[in-house]
Amino acid sequence: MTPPLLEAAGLSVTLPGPSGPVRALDGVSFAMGRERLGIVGESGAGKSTVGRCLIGLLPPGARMEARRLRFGACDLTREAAALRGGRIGMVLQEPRHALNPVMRVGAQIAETLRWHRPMPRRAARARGLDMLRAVRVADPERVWRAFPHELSGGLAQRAALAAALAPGPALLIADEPTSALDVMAQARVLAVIGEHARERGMGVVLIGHDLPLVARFCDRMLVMRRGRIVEDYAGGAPAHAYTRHLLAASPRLEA
Amino acid sequence: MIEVSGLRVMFDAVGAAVDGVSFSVPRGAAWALAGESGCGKTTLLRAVAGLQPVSGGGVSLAGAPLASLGRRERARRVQMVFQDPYGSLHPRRTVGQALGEPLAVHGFGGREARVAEALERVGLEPGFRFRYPHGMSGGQRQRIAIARALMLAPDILLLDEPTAALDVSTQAGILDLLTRLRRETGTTMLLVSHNLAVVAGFCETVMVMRAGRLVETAAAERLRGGARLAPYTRALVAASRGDAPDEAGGAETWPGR
Repeated sequence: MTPPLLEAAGLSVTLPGPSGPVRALDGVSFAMGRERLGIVGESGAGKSTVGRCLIGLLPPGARMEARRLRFGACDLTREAAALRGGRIGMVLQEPRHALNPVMRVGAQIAETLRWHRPMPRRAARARGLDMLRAVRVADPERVWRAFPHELSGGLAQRAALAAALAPGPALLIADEPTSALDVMAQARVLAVIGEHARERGMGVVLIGHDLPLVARFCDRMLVMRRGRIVEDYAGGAPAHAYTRHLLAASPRLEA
Repeated sequence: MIEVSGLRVMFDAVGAAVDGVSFSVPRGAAWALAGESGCGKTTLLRAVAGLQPVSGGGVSLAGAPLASLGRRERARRVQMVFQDPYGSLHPRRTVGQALGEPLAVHGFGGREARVAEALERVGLEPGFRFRYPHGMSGGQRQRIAIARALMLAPDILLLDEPTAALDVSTQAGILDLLTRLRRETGTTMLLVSHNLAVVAGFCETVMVMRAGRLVETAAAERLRGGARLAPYTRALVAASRGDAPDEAGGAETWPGR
């Protein structure tokens, strides 16, 4: 049997808090292949902390323990920082924080590419422009020359996505990638991630609080509450009352 | 209650952000303005609040032209709740001070009792009056912002994406609260949102806006029912359901276009 793309067992994290340490994750275990896995829950459920463990970006003072945290053959407890941005890509909620405000978008995409895959500037530019086309940017040359503040939120998020996808990651961690966007931009960003995952066989971890939105995109999802997984949900009738609560809380437009 | 006729707002860099919009919201109704980022919905709302200089057309509130109202009178008639409850409350004032200030400015007595009543109305414990915004959750802060907006019993409450910064279960609580307050106080409400799923449950009528103009004004149930709608409205409905919009949804817009 081939090993899973990602495997976590007994993942626990303690974060420093104003009134003593806080248990942010409490024995989280899951495994995934090259699929689309959702992680949902309310603010403070620990879903972003899971994402941060996978990319080695826990805040200072955090303590992580795991019986097992593997990405393919790599041990993420030691190698997460080295894999970040290359074989594990990430997109975060606010593209304006992820992009450097004083650097042109194209220079940032090229830098990301050349950091992970040394190549001549000219090749990086050609590949970067291809990536912008792949995330359905209508005028890639113009976006390449633009500064982040010159782009709308949806366009900036797709530029950040192009930078994340350019090195060809096997896994993409997307932490609330559409929360700062309007519904139209939201739908476009998710469509682009989905298309890329299908074509390249990339695994996706989509972290979000809007259960129906995540459910529409993912094959299955982990429902989290207070640092634990309460249900591994793949549609149909939820087994856990908390999953039902999250489903009911989201406004729907169905007839 | 809210009469807007031929309203235009010009920005130097952009041209017309609001381009000849007219509508009329009846007393006690809840209407919504929906559209993508940059369509002019927030600018229009700010113009109705008197926070945005207009270049043409006019706004009347309960029959009185907005321009004829002084600041105090305007504050009595129209109040606004903003998207970001972290930014709209003074970090070094207690909740009691924040809620008491409009009463002091407008010379109301019995402030203690009114503040306690306002907290109760938005579902918060009386003890909240001694607390500061930083110790509260986003949902609690938004409840305080709503309570403050209602302190002077305005005729009109304007809501700019009041739940966009909140997670879904908190959002449901705030929408329920607004529905209840409308029933209890009869306040006319105008809500701005990009998400039709959020507004369809709360408002009777939805105005869809694109590039500064009204595309369509539809009863909320028509959005659910799949009735005949303008192509752009259909794209927005699809996106609000989480589907990719077809390209009637339009190409990318740059700021300034």
